[in-house]
Amino acid sequence: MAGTTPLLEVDNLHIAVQVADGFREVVRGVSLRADHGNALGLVGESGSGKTLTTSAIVRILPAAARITDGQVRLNGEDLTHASARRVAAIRGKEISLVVQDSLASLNPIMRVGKQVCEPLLLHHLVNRKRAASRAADMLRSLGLPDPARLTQGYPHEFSGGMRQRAMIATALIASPQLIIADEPTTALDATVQAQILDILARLNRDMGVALILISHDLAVVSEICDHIGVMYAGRIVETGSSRAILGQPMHPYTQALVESVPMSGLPRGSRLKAIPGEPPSIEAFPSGCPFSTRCRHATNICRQKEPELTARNEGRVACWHAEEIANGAGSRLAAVQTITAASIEGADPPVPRQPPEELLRVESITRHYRVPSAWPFLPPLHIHALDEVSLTVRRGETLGIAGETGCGKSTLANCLLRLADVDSGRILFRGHDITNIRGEELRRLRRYIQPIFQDPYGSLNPRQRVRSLVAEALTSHGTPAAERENRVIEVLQFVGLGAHFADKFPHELSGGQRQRVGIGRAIAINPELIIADEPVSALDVSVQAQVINLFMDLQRRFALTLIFISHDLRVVRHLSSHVAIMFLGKVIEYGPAEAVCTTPLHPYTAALLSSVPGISHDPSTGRLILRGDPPSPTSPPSGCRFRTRCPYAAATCAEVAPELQRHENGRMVACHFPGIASEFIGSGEGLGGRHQSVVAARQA
Amino acid sequence: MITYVSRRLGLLVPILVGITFITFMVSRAIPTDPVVAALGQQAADHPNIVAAYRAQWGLNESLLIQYLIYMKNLFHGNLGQSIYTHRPVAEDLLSYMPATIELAGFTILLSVFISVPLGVLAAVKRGTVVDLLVRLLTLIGVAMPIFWLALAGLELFYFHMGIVPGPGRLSPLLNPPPRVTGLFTIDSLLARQWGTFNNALAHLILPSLILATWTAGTLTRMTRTSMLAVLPQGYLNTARSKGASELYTILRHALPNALIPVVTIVGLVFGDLLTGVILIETLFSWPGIGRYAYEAAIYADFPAIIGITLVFGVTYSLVNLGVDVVYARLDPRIRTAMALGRR
Repeated sequence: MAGTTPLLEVDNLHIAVQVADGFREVVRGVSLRADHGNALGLVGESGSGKTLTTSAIVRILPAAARITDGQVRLNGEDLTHASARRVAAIRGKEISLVVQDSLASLNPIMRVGKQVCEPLLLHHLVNRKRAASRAADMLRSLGLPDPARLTQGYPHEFSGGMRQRAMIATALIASPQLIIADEPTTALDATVQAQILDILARLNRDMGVALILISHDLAVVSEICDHIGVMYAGRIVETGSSRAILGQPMHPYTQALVESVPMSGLPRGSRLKAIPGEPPSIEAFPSGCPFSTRCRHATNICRQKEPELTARNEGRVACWHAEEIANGAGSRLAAVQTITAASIEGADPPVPRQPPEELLRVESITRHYRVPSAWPFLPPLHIHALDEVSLTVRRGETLGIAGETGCGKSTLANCLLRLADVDSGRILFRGHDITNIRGEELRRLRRYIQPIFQDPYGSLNPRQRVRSLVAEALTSHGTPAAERENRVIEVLQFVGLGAHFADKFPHELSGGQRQRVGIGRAIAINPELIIADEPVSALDVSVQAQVINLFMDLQRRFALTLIFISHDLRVVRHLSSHVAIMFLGKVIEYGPAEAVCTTPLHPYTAALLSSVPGISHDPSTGRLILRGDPPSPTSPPSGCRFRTRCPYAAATCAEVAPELQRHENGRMVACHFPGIASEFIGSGEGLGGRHQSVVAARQA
Repeated sequence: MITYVSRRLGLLVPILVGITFITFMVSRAIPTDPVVAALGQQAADHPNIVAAYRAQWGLNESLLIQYLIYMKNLFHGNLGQSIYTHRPVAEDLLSYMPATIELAGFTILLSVFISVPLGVLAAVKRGTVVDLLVRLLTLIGVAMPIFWLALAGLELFYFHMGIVPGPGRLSPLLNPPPRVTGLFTIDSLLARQWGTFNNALAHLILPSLILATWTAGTLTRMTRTSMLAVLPQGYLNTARSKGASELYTILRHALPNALIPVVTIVGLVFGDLLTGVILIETLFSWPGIGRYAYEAAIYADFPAIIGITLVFGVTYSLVNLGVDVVYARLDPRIRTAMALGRR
C-alpha cells in the first residue's frame, strides 16, 4: 500500500471544545490512517478524545466542539473543508458509524426496517420497495432469525444485541468503504458481545471493509484489530501492531492498561496493577506529559515538556523513557510476578482444618414477577426471575455470581437483602430464618447485611454530604455522635479518599470516588455480609482495577463475607473463592472459582468463558459463540432452559430439566452432559493459559 | 388499541356518575329552596304548583332517591329546565356549546400553526437573536391580559381600521346555515353557502387571535423545551451519519419525537379554552357556553349549573382520552405499555 493514497488519512487533527472561559484543545494533533481490509483499534479512557476524533472524521461534532487544525482526507479528498452537502453525501455511503448505545441511537418512534434502509433512500440508491427488501436481507445476513418481524417493529421491542445488529445493518446497507464502530459492544452481554465482534471481524476480513474500532477495553480491541492506537489526554501516546502493543508495550500508560485487565494470568486475589488517580479532566490537562501525574516512571523532564510521538521499534510512542521501559519490561515483569506470588502467600489466612460456619443459606427460593397480559380476562404472565435457587455462603468466602442480563442475579441480590420478597423457599442468615421478618427485626438485620450498588450516580442522595452518607447506617443503628465522626474519617481513609472528602457532595466526585463512598457506606457499621451488585461495571478500566483492589483489601482486612455480582467473568473470577453461574433464573453451575473457570462443566459456562475477550486469543482453541439472545423469562423453554442456545442439545434436553447435581470437589452442575464443551477451553489453563504465552513472549 | 379505548370509555361512566353526584349534592346543600329557585317566588306561593313540582322531582323523598330520580331523567336526556331561560337545559347546551367549540377549536388550530414552527426555530437556533426574539414574543403573549388585548383589538381593527367584522358569530344580515354540527364554518361549507362561510370565518379571526396569544405562547415554549430535549439525542446523529441533511434530520427525526409531549399540552389547553373563554365571549357577544355558565351562576340556575358541569366533565374526559389516543398513535412505546395494561 506504500506510495498509494490511503483510504482514510487523519493528519494532525486538533479539536477544541468550548468551556466556561473560552476554548480548550482536547484533541491535540492526532494522525491515523485506515485502509481496505485493515482494522485499527483506538483505546483510551473516557475523555481521552477518541470519540471526538472519529466524530470529526464525518464532521458530526457536538455543538461546543470545533476542528481547529489538521485535515481528514478520504481517498485524498479533504473532508475538513468540504461543504456540508458533500460531507452528507459521504456519510452512510462511504463512511458509516456504529455507536455504543443502540437504544439511544435508534429513533424510538420509527420502524426499525425504515431506519435500516434510510441510507439507501437518502442517497437515492434504490427505490422504497427495493430498499425495504434490502434491509430485510441485510438483517438476515447478520444472523437475525426473523427479519420481517424486526423490520416492522420498533427499537424498544428488541434486545440490545438485536438492536446493535440493526445498527450494523444500517451502517452496512449502502456498502461503505469504512466503518467506524464506537464502543459497539460496551453495553452488551458477553455472549452477545462475542457475536457482534465476530460479525465485525468477518466484515473486515471477508468483505475488505476498513474498520476503526473504538473501545475503552484493550481486550475487545485486541480481538479483531491488527493495529492499535492508544489515546491519552487528546493525543495518541502509542501506536503499533496489536502484537507489539500487547506483547511489548512501550508507553507506561499502555503497559498499565494491559496489566489492569483482570484475569490476565494473574492468580486469584493478586492485586491488579491499577493506574493511580483519575483520567485527566478536559478542564485542565497536566503540564508536560499529561500522564506524568499518574506515571510511576515520571521524572522532571516528564513534568516539564510533553514528549513527541516518535518511531521506535516497529511502532511509535510518546514517552521520554520509552527505551528504558521497553528494555526493562522483562525484568520488571518478572519482579511483579514474584511480588504478587509473595503477597498471595502472606495474605491468605492459614486454611483452617474445619470449614468455617455457614453464614448464609438459601434454600430453593423462587421469585416470579407478574405482568398483566395483553388482553383482558387472560391470566397474567409470569416472569421467572428466580426459580428454586439454592446457595450457601460460608464466613469469609467470596461468592461470585455471574450471568447475562435477565438471568436473575439482581433479583437474587434484592431478595437476599430483603428488598424484595420471595414467593417460596427460605433464606437463613446465621441459622435464623430471615425470609419473612419485618419491622424492627428486619431493621436489625440490616446492620449485618449491607449492599453496594452498581450506579454510583443514582445510589447516592445528591443533597447529602459524604459525611452523612457514610454515617447514615451508623446513625440509624445508634452509634454515638462522637464515635460516628471518627468512624467516618477512618472509613474514608480506608477506601482511599481521605478526611477532606467528608464535606463534599456526590456531584463533586468522579465515578470511582463515588463508588468508594458507596463502599465506605457499606462497611461503616462492620457488616458481616456485603452484597455488591455490579459495583465496577460503570467505571473506566483503570479505575475499575483500583476498586477491585479495594475489594481485595476489604476481604483481607476484615475477613468480610462478600457476594459479588457481575456480568464480567474476568472480575468475578479474580475476586471470588466460589462462583455460581446463573441462566434464566436458575443456578446452572456452582463450585470453587478456579475449578469452574478452568474446567467448566456446563456448556453455558464454557460459552461465557470463551466469549470473554482475551488480550491474546489462542486461535487453536476456537471459540464457542452462542446463537441468538437469552430466551424470554416469561416463557422459558421446556426441559433445560439453555437448550435453545446450546450447540450440544439432545432430545432429552427438551424433555427433562436437569437438576443441579453434585460433582467431585464440591462442584455442582445442572446439565445432562457435564463437561461436554471442554474442547473450547484450551490446555486446562483456561484464559489464564492464553495470557501465559504473552508473558513468556515479553520475557524472551 | 381498541381494547384500550373501550376500557377508557368504560371508565368514563364512573367518572360521570361521580361528577353528577358531587354537583347534585353540592347544589342541594346550598341553602336555596330548589322550589323557589326553579319556579320563582310567585309560583312558590301557590301550594298546588309546589306540590306538583315536588312530586315531579321527588323532592319529598330522601336525597339519594332524589339523586336517582335525577339520574333517571338524565338518562332520558332530560336535564331539567333552566330557571333563567325557561328552556330545557339540554336544548340550551346544544345551542351554546358549538359556538364555544368553534372558537376554541379555531384558536387551537391557529396556535399550533404558529407555535410549532416558532418553537422548532427557537430550539434549533438556541441562544441566537432568533431564539431571544421568539422567547420575548411568547413572554408577551403569556403575560398580556386577555381582556385588555380584546378591547385594544376591537378598538384598533374593528372601529378604526374596519378590517375585521364586529362582535358576534355572523353579521346580523345573514342567517345561520342549516344546522348539522352547530359550527357555522362547517355547516356553511356543507350547505355550500360560501358567503356565510367567509363571514363566519372573518368573525372568528379576531377573538381567536387574541385567545391564541396566550395559548400559542404556552405551546411555543413547550415545543421549544421539548425540541431542546430531543436535539442532543443520539438518533439524530445516527440520521446525520446516514447522510441526512440537517433539515431532514430536524423534520423527520427530531420533530415527531418532540411533538409527543406537546400533544398533551394541546389537549389541556383545549380543555381550558372550552371552559375559560367567558371573558372573550362576553366582549365579543359570542353566544357560547362561557356566557351561559356565567349567567347560570349569577341567577343560581341550578339545573343549568349541573348541566354545564356535566358537559365540562364529559368534555375534559373526552379530550383527555383523545390526547391519550393520539399519544399512543405517535409513540409505539406507549402502545406497548398499553398492550401490557400498564397504563
